Amino acid sequence: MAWRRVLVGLHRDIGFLILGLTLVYGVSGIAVNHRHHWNPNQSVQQEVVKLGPPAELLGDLPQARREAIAADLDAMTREEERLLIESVTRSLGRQAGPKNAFWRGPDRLSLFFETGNADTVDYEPSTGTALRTRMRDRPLVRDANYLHLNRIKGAWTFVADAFALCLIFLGISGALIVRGRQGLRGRGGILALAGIVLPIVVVVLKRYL
Amino acid sequence: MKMKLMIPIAALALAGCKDNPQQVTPVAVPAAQAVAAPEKKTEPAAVQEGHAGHEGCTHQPAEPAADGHAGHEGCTGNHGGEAHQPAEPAEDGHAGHEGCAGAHEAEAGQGIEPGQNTEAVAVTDPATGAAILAAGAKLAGATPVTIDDLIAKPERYAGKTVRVAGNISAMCHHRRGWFAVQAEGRSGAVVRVVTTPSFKVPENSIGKKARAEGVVSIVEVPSGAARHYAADHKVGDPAAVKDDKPVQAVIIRATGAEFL
Repeated sequence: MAWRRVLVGLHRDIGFLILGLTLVYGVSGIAVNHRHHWNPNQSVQQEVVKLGPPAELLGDLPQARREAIAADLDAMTREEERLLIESVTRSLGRQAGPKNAFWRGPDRLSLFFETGNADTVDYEPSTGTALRTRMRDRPLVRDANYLHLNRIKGAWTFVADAFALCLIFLGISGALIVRGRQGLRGRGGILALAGIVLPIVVVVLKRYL
Repeated sequence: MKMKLMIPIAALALAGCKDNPQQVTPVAVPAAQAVAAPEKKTEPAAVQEGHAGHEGCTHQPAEPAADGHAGHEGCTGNHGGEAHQPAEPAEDGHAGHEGCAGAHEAEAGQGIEPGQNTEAVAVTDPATGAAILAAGAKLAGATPVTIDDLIAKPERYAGKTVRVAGNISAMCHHRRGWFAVQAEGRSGAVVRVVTTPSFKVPENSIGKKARAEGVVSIVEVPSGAARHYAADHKVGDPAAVKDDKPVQAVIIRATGAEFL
C-alpha cells in the first residue's frame, strides 16, 4: 500500500533526525533513574583529614588562651576564631582563604572556598578532623540532564515536545509498518500488549493496591 | 476476569492521582502554643500533606532530586500548582528528593501559580555599593530579630513580619523553594526561610550571606520531610522526629530577600 511506503519513509527519516536527542534523553534517563544511587549531575569527592584540636592549631597563642579554648570553645574571641580559620586553611595546604566561614553547629566550622557547595571543608573541633568535600560537574551527563529536564525552558520546551511527538510517531508507525505474522496481528501484537500491560500493572500494584 | 478488573482500574489511574497537594492546607498552630521541644508531642491541627518523598508527589515524570539526602527534597513531582516540571536532579550533591516532596509548598500555604517563583536579579547594595542579588519584594525595614531569639521564643513573633540576616547553611536544590539561615555563633540554631511561591533561591547560595523579610509561622512539618531536612540538610534535630509524627518548626514565609 502507498501509505505504508510513506510511513516507512517517514519512520526512517524521523528516526535519523532524532537519533541525537534519543541518545541524549536515553543517557540522561538512565542517569536520573538512578538518582537514589548517585548524584547524576555532579561527582562528590570527600576526604577526612586529621588537623588537630583548636588549641593545637592556635599554637601561636599564649598557653593560657589555648588552655581556655581547650576547656571551652566558646571562650574563643572573634579574632581567635579568625586565626583558627586561617590555621585550618594553612593546614590543608590552601593558598587562598575561604570566601566565607561560619559555624553550622556547635561542632562544625564550615569553610566555603568556592560558590555554593562546590568546595567546602567542615572542621570538627571535638575530633580535630576536617571533611573536605569537592563537587565537580559530570561532563556530558550534566549537559544531557540539562536538556532532558528542560532547565532551559522557553523555546526548548517546544523542541522537547516535538521530540516526544516524534517518538510517539516512531512507536506507532513502527507497529504499523510490519505486516503479517510479525506484525500487530501476530508476534508484534503480543509484544505490544505486554509493553502496555506492564506499566499498568506496576502502577496498579504500587499505587492503588 | 483479571483483564476485566484491570480496565476500570486503569481508567481510575488515568483519572488522576489520589493525592492533590493543592487541597492541603498548612497547619496554623495558634501562636499561644509554644513550639514543641523535640521530645514534646502535639497533635496536628489539620491533616498535613501526607507524602514523605517524591514518590507521593506524582504528577510528573520523576526527576532526580537534588540535595544531598537519601531522599531528596529534594521531590519528584509537581508541587502544588507549579506546572509539571520533570524532576530535576539536585544541584548540590544529594541523591534524592523524597523528603522534600511538597513540604515547602504546604508550608507556603498555597499552590504555586504560574508567573510567580521569580528569579533573583542583580542589584547594587545601597549601603556598600557591592553587587548583590535581590529577589521578591524589596526589603521594607521590618523589625530585625536574631535567629536564636526567634527559635527560643517563636510565639512572640508568630504572625509578625520580621527581618533575619545571616549565613546560608542549607537550601533546597531541587525547587529552590527555601533556604536556611544560621544563627551567629555556635548555637546551631537555624531557621528555614520559605521563598516559594514568591521567588526562587539563587543557585549555589550555600555559604553566602543573606537578609530576608517575611512572616513568622509555626508549622507542622511531615515526619518524612523533617527527617530529610535533618539528615540531608542538617536543619533540625533528627531525634525530634518520632513515630512518624509531624514536627513543629518555625519558618519564615519570605516576601523578599537579598543575597550577598
